[in-house]
Amino acid sequence: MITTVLIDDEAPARALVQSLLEQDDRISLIATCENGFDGARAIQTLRPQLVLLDIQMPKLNGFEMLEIIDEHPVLIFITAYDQFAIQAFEANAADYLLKPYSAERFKTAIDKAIAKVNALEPAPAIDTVVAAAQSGQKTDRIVVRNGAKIIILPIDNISLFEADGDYVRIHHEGEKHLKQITLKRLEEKLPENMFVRVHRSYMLNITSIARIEAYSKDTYIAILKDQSKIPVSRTGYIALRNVLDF
Amino acid sequence: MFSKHPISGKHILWYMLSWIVYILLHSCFVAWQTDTSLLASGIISLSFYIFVAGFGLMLWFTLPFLSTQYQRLIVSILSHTVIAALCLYFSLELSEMVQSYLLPSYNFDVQMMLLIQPLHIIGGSLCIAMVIATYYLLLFKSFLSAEAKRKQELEDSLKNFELALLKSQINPHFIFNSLNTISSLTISAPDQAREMVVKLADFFRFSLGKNIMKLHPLREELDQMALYLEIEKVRFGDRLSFKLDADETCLDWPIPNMLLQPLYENAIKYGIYEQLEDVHISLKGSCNKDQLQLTISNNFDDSGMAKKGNGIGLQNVSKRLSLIYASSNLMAIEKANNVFTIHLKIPKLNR
Repeated sequence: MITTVLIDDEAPARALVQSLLEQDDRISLIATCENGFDGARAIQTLRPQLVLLDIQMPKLNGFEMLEIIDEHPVLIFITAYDQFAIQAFEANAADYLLKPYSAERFKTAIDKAIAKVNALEPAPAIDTVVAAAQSGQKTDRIVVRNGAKIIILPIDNISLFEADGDYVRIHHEGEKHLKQITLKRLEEKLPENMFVRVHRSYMLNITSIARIEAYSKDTYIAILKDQSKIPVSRTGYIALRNVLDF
Repeated sequence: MFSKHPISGKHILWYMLSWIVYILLHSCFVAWQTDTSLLASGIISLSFYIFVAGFGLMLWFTLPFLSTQYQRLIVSILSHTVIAALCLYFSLELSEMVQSYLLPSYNFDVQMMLLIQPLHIIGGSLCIAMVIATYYLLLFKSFLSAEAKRKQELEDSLKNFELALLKSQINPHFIFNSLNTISSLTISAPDQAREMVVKLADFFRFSLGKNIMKLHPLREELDQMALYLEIEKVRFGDRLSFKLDADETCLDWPIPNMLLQPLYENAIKYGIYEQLEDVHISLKGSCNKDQLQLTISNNFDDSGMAKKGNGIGLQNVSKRLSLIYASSNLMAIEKANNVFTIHLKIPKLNR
């Protein structure tokens, strides 16, 4: 039997999935969650093979929840309406269901997912699924996980992103958080003209800059409001000039 | 409106042609009534009417100062008369100068002068009156077509606005999630499913195809919002609670159709989707003789939220109010202690 977790914030929507799954003896529903926080916890501890996931949920949406888990279960997205995501689902998720869906359509999705679980090939990395689903959409917050704690950082208060191997160190109101993501991917997610990639390893919030000083012939140094000094490359300096218009 | 002279281009040809025809008829009449030669009477008529025609063209430029747009009717009529009399006087004087130059040896007999002078005065006055009347006809025509165009533009912009509003009002999430809820209830609680279908139908019957510039009583608006919230409550269960509390005396106050809908949608978006706590949305309504005051508030969690501007939905409400009541500042937004409040002021419309 395939271990499965269901995450949806609406009780009637959960009831429908539960009643449809009861008729399918290939599936064992091991947890049902009302929000992304409980969902992330359930996935981390129970390590299900399949996750049925709603996108629009309180505080932490389905994509944000996926960003903070280490597991790679097979996914079926269930959503009411999401123009951007649909193409991505087709490419990367086992299947997606648009609410409302028929019992036959639901069964097809489960069949596909079971085939994927049984195929020994690994599921596509979660971040590629999420990246594709969110391509073209800008975010105004970053979700990070610190042990069992899930923290939501509004981007206004983030002063600096610092690349560190496979991770990015996020400087937020004097605290530092690690997240597994690349600066390039972050650049795509963040709204334009708010953050500037000043260096291969640094991306700055323009409001956190106190002043910019020349360092050598072609390089500069940005001094932030908290007095930390960040190197600025030649191309970074040009990007800063474009955004800050000086 | 007074900018471009209406007699220009090929209209000048028509203007001149009418004058030639008129002068010809006039000369024939004079030649027939007196024993002047046709040539002489032609020169006499031409020497007068050519100036009338010239003054007639120039009269256009005096209209902006004389029209009733800036003057009282009686002043406008009097000044038109004075101007016409001046034109007539100068035309007569000038024509005499031309005649004495062109026909110096011609012997005007008394009988002929007695005919020509009054004929020129009456004919000239009528012609000037005709020219002025033509100008006003043309002005009226261009005014009418400009008015029709303006009206069309207004209607178009209103339509676009209406469409944009409808798009923002009926959120696709609301429709599809409600249908999904019904789908679920058909298994677990068919009675409730049927009830929900009826509510949804009532809601759409009410909100689709309504003119957003029209007003309806607060009572109807509140019934409609209760319907919307009950549908949402089936989806969200205890997470959503609401209270609609307006003074009995205000229930007939006219307010724009579906005005509150985007506000409730916004409250649900932030109250339900941006926090884990339950959301309570309350409305209070009170009124005096000049205005109705509505206050809608909900709890929300401002931690972890970016300081963004207000959504399109709220902007639309504000835009609509200022469009209908021709007054800004009818909507105020307040965020304090995790409570989001919208204050609306609805004046009484004098219609």
